[in-house]
Amino acid sequence: MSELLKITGLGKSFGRHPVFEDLNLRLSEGKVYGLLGLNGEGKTTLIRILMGVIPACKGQIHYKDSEVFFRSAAYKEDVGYIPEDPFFFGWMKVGDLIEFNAGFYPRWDAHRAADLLKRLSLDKKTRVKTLSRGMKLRLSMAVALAARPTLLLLDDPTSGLDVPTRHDFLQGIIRELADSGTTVLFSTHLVHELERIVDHLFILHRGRIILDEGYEAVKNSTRRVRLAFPGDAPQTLGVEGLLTESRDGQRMEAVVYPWSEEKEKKIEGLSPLRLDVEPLTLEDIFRSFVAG
Amino acid sequence: MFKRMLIKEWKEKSGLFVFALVALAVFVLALSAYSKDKETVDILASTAFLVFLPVFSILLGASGFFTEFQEDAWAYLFSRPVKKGNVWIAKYLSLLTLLYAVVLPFAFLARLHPALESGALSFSFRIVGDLSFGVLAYILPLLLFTTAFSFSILSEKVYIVAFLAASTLIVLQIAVSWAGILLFYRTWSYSVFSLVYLLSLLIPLSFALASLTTVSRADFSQPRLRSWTFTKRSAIFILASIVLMALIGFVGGKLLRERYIYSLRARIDALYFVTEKGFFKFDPAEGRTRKIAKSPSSWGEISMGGDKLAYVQYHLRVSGRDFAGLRIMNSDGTQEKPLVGTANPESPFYGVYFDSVCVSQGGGRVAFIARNRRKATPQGIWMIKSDGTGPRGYDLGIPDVYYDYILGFGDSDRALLLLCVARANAVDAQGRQVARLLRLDLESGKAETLAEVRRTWFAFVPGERGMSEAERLAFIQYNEATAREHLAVYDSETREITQVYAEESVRGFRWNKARDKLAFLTAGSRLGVYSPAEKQVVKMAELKGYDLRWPSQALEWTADDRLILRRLEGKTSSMCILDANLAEQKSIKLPFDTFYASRFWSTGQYAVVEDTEKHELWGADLTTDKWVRIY
Repeated sequence: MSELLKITGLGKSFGRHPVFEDLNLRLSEGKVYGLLGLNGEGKTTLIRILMGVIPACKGQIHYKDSEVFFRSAAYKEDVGYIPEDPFFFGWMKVGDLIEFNAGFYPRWDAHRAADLLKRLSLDKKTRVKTLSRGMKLRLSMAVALAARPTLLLLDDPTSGLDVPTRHDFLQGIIRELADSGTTVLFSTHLVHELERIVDHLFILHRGRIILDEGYEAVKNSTRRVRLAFPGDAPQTLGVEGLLTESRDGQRMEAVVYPWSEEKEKKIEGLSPLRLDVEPLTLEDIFRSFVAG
Repeated sequence: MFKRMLIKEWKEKSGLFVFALVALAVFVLALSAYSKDKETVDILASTAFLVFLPVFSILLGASGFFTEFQEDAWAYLFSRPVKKGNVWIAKYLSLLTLLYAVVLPFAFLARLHPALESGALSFSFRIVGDLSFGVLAYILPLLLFTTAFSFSILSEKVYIVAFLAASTLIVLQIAVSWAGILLFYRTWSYSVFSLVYLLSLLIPLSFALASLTTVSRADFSQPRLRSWTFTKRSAIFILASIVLMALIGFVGGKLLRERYIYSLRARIDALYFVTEKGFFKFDPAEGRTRKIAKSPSSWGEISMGGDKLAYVQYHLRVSGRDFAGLRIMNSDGTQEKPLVGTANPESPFYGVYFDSVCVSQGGGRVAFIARNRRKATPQGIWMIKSDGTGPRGYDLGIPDVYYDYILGFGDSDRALLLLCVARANAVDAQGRQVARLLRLDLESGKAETLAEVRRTWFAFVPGERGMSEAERLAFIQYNEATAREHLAVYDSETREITQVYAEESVRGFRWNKARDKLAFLTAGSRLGVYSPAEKQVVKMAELKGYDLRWPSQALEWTADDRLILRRLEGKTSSMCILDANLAEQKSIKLPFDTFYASRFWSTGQYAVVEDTEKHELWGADLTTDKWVRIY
């Protein structure tokens, strides 16, 4: 699979407050990427930089092997963007907004726009300022998808959607897009929702990418171990890759990444009375990664 | 994209547009209702063009990015596949079309509505050359709109943006105007002056470029950073504009410098004149011109008497006040020194300007009028000795008087002859005004009225003003009984006023060098010569084929008392020499073509004429009839 987007050494700060430094990411075609991070870690900032809304302080972005700059515009014909809080011109009607956007995108698919409006229950004659947040998100989706993007950037878009729409969006639209070759970078705080659709995970924490791995690989190589000892539990399990570790008298619990048989044997060497090794949900994995 | 932006901007600002159309309709209705009341029409037009359109332009511009600030819509717009600079340009052009959809109907209305016919407006703007009201009506909204639109990226608070933009533009335009004036004083070139004014368009352009590049390159999400970036770039572009203006000003000043002969005094033994390059003397005996002083005068008046030459020199200061100095030197340029100046707040001349400078016949005294710039400083007649001592002001005790000008010294420099008018004295339809010819006794300080003269403003000009040889004074006065302009002569020795010629109106006159013959031209194209000694007209002749425009300039005496007249055939002018019997002796073609009524002077054996187009001085040696270029 060829590389679609490459971010190298990206840095951004607001005044004297650095948001992230030396960020490196690579996105390949046709995959769904999850971008996870706590609030304020810079997920929205990163996506806004990728959309050319704000400039980066340093680093490079390459799209399809061509470097893109803050001033660049042409690459955005390929990129759809659904922000967390959709911002439109309130005085426009839904139909006006669709028409307005059609002028910017050469691959604009009017039929698809009409289909999406219908599917998302949007009336062309409704004025944008009267739409609820959820409806604005739907409109945002319609605008982004009607442009037939090669890359879709989603900035925590599902939080305002009702459950059926969210389900339709995630399982229907996003999966459908990915299957048709569209690359999706999905930033969300509703981590569990990614579980069903994500191919690859990024975790942005304290200004750095601390996880850049395929979802299945992460899921298969992250384990929670629960131990019980006859006496006091040891100070540490003493294995590499401990994401979390806690002791409570004779009991001990830890999350290990990456998990391996060697590590399991080493832990067994501590002679616990009981040793339970279990996989984690994505939410637990995320929590473990950012816990430290 | 541009089409979409155009539609978007027009829809967004449709309220403002409708408001402007309503205002236009109200304006039309009001004009039609009050079309015969010129004062009301003026007020309406002033309100429309000087208040409504500028304010509309500023508000429209200041609201440029208003909707983009609402709910962060700028981020939405900037995430579209279009360059941010293009967004700025598209918005600017879209709103510009809206602006001119309002301005043009107003401007056309100003040309087409009967109440605003050409010339009907009493307020008119003459910026430079032909840049008049009409152009201003088109350009001013553009300048204000461009500046306000450029500032609109700073905040969604439209009124604050409008105030900031308008005040910044006004301050900078004033600064540029001053730069223009400074350059003008340096180069004395109206072309440079005009150029600088036109270059003041660079200020809104600088803001526009700063705004455009800020949008294109700066982080729009950070208001402080955005403002700082805009301020920095504005400063850079404005600085670049100033440098460009200065460069063009200096280079243009060199290339476009217009040469002027500011002042010229012809004596029997020499011709003195001042140009932008200095003070020059032409010696007819040698046939040579020499520079005898470096730029002694900046536009100031020159007067000569005895061996002295007094003049006014202006200094323009960057602080915004211009000062003048009355200075004196010998006629060979030596011993140049100041007499009085206007820069010292302690001086009675602080804030005044010097007018009607006149050196006495012997060169020992200088008289001048100190005119008030500020009401607190009264105007006055002043006298000072040539060595700078004994300044004395004269209060003539005439209420509400305006000292028109000093004609000269009389009574062997014991008296001053001057002309004054009552401030309330209106000029009649023919341009005549009642003036009083005064004699001021310089010792006693008492003034007496020699004559009440109803005369046209040019009756004493040229040739008489500021001349020290005013022992005999000629003047034209209107006689209501005969409805003619009579020529009269005042003899300061006998203090008599003699009527010279009353058969028909006299249009111009000229004394000979010895001041014992007075030539005059009548309305009936007759040339006469009056002899004060004989108290009668001694010669009279009909003139045919001579160019008698500007009659007082059409005459000159040669050093040997022959008369010079001008003839114009097509574009060719000739200098005609008349003998003692007023018969044409010879005609010498001027060395240049001109339609203008060139004036002649004479010095020694030379008759001198100025090419007013090329600003050259030419002298014809009347013994050989050959021309030499004096300057």
